[in-house]
Amino acid sequence: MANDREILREVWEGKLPVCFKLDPDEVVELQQPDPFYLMVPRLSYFPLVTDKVRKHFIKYVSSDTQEHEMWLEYSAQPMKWHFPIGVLYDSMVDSDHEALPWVITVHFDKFPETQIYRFSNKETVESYFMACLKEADVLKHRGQIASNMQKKDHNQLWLGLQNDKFDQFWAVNRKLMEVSGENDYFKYIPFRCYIEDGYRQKLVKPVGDDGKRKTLNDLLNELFPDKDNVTAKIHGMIPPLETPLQWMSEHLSYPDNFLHLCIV
Amino acid sequence: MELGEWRQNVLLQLQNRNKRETQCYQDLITQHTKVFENANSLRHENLQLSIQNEKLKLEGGNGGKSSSALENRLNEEVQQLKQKLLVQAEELTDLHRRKGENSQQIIDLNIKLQERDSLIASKDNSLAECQSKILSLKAEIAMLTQANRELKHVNDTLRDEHSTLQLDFSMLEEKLRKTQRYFVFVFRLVYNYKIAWIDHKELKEELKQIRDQQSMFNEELLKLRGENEDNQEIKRENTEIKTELQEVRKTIEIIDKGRRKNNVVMNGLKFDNNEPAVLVEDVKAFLNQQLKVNVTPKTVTRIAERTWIIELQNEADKRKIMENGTKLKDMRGERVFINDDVTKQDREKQNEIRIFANQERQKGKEVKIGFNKDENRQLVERLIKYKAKDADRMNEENDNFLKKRYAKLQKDLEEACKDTKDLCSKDIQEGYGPLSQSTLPSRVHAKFDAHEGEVNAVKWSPLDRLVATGGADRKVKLWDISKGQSKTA
Repeated sequence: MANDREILREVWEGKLPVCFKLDPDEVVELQQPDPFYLMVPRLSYFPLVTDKVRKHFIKYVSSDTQEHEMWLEYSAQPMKWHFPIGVLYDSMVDSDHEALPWVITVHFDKFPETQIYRFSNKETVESYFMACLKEADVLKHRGQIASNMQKKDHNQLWLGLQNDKFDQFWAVNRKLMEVSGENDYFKYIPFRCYIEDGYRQKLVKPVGDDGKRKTLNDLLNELFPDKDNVTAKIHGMIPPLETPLQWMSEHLSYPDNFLHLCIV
Repeated sequence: MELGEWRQNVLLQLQNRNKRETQCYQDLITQHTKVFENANSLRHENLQLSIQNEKLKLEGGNGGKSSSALENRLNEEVQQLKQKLLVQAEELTDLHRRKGENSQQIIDLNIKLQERDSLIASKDNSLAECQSKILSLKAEIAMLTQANRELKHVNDTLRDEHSTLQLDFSMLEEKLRKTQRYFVFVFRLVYNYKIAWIDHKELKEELKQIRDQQSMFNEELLKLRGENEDNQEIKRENTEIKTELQEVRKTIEIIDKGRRKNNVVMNGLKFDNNEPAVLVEDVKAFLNQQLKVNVTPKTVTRIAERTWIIELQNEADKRKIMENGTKLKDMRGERVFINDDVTKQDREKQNEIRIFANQERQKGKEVKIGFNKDENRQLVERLIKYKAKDADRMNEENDNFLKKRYAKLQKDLEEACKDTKDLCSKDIQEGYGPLSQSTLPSRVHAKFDAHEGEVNAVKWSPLDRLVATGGADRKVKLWDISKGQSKTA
């Protein structure tokens, strides 16, 4: 039961300072544009927060590329917009050596179609988000709760995330975090484990066959049986290995109800 | 739920993370954003100001920083002006074209206008004529009304005059009547007086003469009385001769009558043959045919062209013919009359009888004239009686007149014998008295209950003893004075 509001609040409050810079090759004006600084929530997605950035930089690019979709790049890698920002930061930036703010290069031209999806508008992001949410619910409760929800509850979830409204979001999300029936645990723990080239997923139950609660250590062991001392990072911190999976799923999941773990 | 150390660890890490990543940058970035926005707006302003500055510089260049700039500007201006000139020239040609069109339109309109003007002028003329006509007519009307008024006035005055004249006339008529009456009265008086005066003078003279004559007559009277006795003998002889003559006449008459007793005169027939015997037969046939009388006449004698005297056998035959004489009226064609052959005296007598009978008939009595009947004789007797009466009345009147005359004469003579002094005044008074007295009625002769309401008029008939009265009951009644009753209503 996700009733530890202190943790939930702290997770929700997490924001990153980002410095957006336009790719100097794309600047057509004489003067270089000033970088654009922005505080972005870790739980949100880049397409939801970059309207102002686009508005700021669009004046400096050539008129034939102005209609193109904007894409972001960090250290020569295009940003995968369908990942939450926090996941991107944790996976891409070595926070111990790189100082904040997070400098991201903005591109209008030469969209890397082979590496990232195109997104025409925010509805694309919403549908991806909802798909993730439903997938997580299927894992947790065989998809009963999300499919029984009304359209307005889905809207409330999405708007709560988009407008950074904690109470609005959690009023609906707590239903998804409840345990159904007589079971004390989810059926499976929805998680994604990111390694360098992608993420891994596996059906992992919150409790073992012996009825003992599983911990993060158990999960990492199940996922990487041949590796020791694997460190997983989530929300910019490294949770202790003895943290129970059920609690983690309830309190440390991203809004799409997945635990996005980045292996470092 | 048990809260292990892992939870504290997580919380701590999260709080650290937030401190590190979020809180220290939060304010910085908000500030930066503000500054950034300010810088942006300032930059924008700056841009605008610089643009303005440029403009001002351009304007300020007018002051003549350098001649070349001025020249350029002037050239530009000249160019602009030239362009304007071109544009204006184009406009001008356009306007010229339009002007041409407009002038054409103006010409057309002017023609129309002239037509209209002429039309208006003609209309004006006619209007003026009409107005003048109206004026003249008005003047005429005024004149006529004036004349009418004057005529009315004249008429009124004439009527007034007429009425006054009529009044005067009636007054004058009244006066005239009065004066006439008075004049007649005076005239009578004067006449009487004059007559009286003349008579008086004559009478005086006559009286003297008469007195002289009287004495002479008296003397002659004495002489005549002696002669008178001789004259009476002659008179007696004379009357004897007269009676003898009358007797002779009567006998002649009787003989004539006897001769003509059986004769009849027939008018209108024409017989061709003049031989007595044939004539007798013809007449007999005629009478038998027309009168259905079987009579044989003794002789037939012709006395005129178509007049025949037929002598019959006896008086009975004559009577037959006379009684059937009326049948001749039914005969068509020739008019034939059969009359009694009478003496001249008898004829006159018969005529008289006929006239008398007609008079009697008119009075409503039934009178029939027969042939030689006793009634005729009666009629004749009555006629004789009437005539005798008339003669008596005439004699009486004559006697009265003579008496009156004599009496008057005697009176005059007596008056003439009186003293002739103061005669004029006395005569007038005496003449006046009896005249006025005689005209005033002294007693009621008859009394009529004539009308309901007022009696408006009474008039004497000029001929008869009749009086006509008219009353308020809208009736006119005629009254017989002698009977004292209404004849007609």
